Amino acid sequence: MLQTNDNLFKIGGEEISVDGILGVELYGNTESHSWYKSTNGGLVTPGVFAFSNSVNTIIPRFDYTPKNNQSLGVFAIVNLSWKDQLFLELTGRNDWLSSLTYPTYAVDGKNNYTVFYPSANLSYVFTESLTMPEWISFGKLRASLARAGMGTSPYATINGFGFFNQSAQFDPDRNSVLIANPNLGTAYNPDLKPEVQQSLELGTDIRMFDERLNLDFTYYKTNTFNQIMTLPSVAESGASRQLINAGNIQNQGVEIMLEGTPVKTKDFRWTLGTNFTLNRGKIKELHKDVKEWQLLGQYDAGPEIWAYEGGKFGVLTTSYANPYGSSIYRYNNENDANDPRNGKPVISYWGGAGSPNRAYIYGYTTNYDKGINDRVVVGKVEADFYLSFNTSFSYKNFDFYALVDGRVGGNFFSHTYKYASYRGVLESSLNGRDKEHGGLPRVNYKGETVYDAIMLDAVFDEGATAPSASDPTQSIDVAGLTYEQALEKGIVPMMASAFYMYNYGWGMPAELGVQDNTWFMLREVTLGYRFSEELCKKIGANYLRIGLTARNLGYLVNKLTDGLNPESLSNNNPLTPMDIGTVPYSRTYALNLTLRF
Amino acid sequence: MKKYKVILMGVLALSTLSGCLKEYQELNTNPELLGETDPRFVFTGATENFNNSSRNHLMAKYSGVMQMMQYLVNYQGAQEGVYVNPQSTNRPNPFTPYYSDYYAQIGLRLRYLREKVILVMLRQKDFKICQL
Repeated sequence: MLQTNDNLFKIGGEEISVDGILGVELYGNTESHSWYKSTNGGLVTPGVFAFSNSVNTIIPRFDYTPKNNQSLGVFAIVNLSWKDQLFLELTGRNDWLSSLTYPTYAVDGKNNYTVFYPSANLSYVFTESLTMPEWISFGKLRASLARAGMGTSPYATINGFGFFNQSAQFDPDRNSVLIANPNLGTAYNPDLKPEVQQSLELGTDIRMFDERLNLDFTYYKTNTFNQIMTLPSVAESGASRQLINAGNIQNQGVEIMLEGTPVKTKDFRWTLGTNFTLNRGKIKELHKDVKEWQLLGQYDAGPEIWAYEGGKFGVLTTSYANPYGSSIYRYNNENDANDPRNGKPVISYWGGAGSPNRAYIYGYTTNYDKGINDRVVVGKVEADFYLSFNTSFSYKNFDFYALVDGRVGGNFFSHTYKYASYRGVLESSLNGRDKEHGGLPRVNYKGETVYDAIMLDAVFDEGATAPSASDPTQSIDVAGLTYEQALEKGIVPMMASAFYMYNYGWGMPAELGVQDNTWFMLREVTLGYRFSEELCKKIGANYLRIGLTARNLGYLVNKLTDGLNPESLSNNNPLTPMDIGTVPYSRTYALNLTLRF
Repeated sequence: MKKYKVILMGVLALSTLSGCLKEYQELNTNPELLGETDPRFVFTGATENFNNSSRNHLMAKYSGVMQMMQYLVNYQGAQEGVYVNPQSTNRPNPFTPYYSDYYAQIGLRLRYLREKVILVMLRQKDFKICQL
């Protein structure tokens, strides 16, 4: 790296300071070795943790990954500044990426492994040059436009080329046989190009009233072009997937940080702050033939995650032509748009189960049942916005800090809800089970009247019949009636437990398990006391503070049903929006002592 | 003088790069992918688990296709709705994975074996090629 600092140039009487950096960067991985050994079949003498105490012979394992990724970058940075108020940074960088080269046997590989990308950053401290009102103490505007080039993962360029993965496979007769599978199935792409990310950022930093009120505002827009991704293709072509280099995926958002100090005296200081962030992901363009992109396949009969061209980056959908998780079919009277039944779920009689306390089951008719195969969007991944508030006081030697953060909007699918509602574990599934929870009367097999039947806001399907309450062997025509009307007409009511048992659980309509991922949490409260300087001096210290911190105190707002924990999401990846079994709430209390000498 | 130094460094940097492509190609070549193999292993690979390659295949076959063909009957007796369901508004949809299995796996691999492995091998005469 070469560097030159503070070169002054004079242009037309104005002095401009120039800094320059020229550098080379080599980046990559190295070969990795790992070695693994464990006792086999348990320990001979319990509690003696030695390899020689293993019951069976130990077979140690060794793994080796060769060095397979390197990139070389040559870059130059020039910083220009004028009178400490106007700054311009220009950069240029050229990368050579090994992950975009092709093995020499792939003679048609284009090896587009070099990528050049520039950037420009401009900032202007306008309070230095313009006469501003007294109350604006500092003001800065900034703008930057940057590009960045990226490669792909090692060995990815040769996907679908052929050649063999060979391995030994267990065979019951011969113990082990060799199998070789060609590297096929993905259409080979000999012309992969670097991905290019272009970002624009605009921002301000304004401090007012002697820095008592500070505002930091940022707008950004990032477009990723030529993204390397795997999209489906027509199986008859010989490859059911294709590796392509396309698209324009856009992320734009706003970040606002506002901080104020309403009270500031010698002994007392109170500050308030808030952070607001908002991001919108969008697929501006995908591919000339493929207009939809699967980001996550169906897991355990839940929804899938898709991105459609022109739409949001990540929506929860039902699966195509799949009975499991298929959306509830909604009543729609084509002749009368004002029919009050329109939009209500459609149900039909599914049959009876159990004896002697027989359950008569009415269940949701799904789109799949109606031959409607298309995916239905049931939610979106992205939050509308994130918001946090913080406040701090300090009075003499005491200090206090509190933080509340939260998110508004966006959805996830709760597998916990799916299984728990089916088993009647959740509070919401108490609905209709007794008189207090709105249970309707029903005559049980002993002839007693019990209040455990559920009311549904649903409409019976065309041609539907249901068993009569007085004699369940007789059918009553209930086509097009609401469930309430059908009950008045004398059908057997459904037990609430049977409703949850047969309509929820594995394979239930996906929208039933979609949660509104909106919550606000009291994230942190800290109380501290700083000991006086005299006391510190006695023990020879400069600073002594004792503090009590409590974290994750509780949800002030939690829109998830049944008190499910928003932190149960199975993964930090925003594109796997589901929970699989909930985790208990946990709080952390910490007592800390800070001592500086 | 400083300017010349910069240019000199640039020239040096570029000259080290010219030898780079070959090196990078080598780096990005997976040593575990074999260019050649015995066709017998390819055949075994393509046809292993030809029938029941997953639990899904097995389950769907026994609970769907084989019952529809009246090849077997549910242990609780013939069930209404499996053979014919007069209430249903859509056609029966038997599980037939063979089409996608052929195009995505078995057929694809066998075709590759025939066209790319056997035809270019020296031991061609050892393998009888039938028209697929």
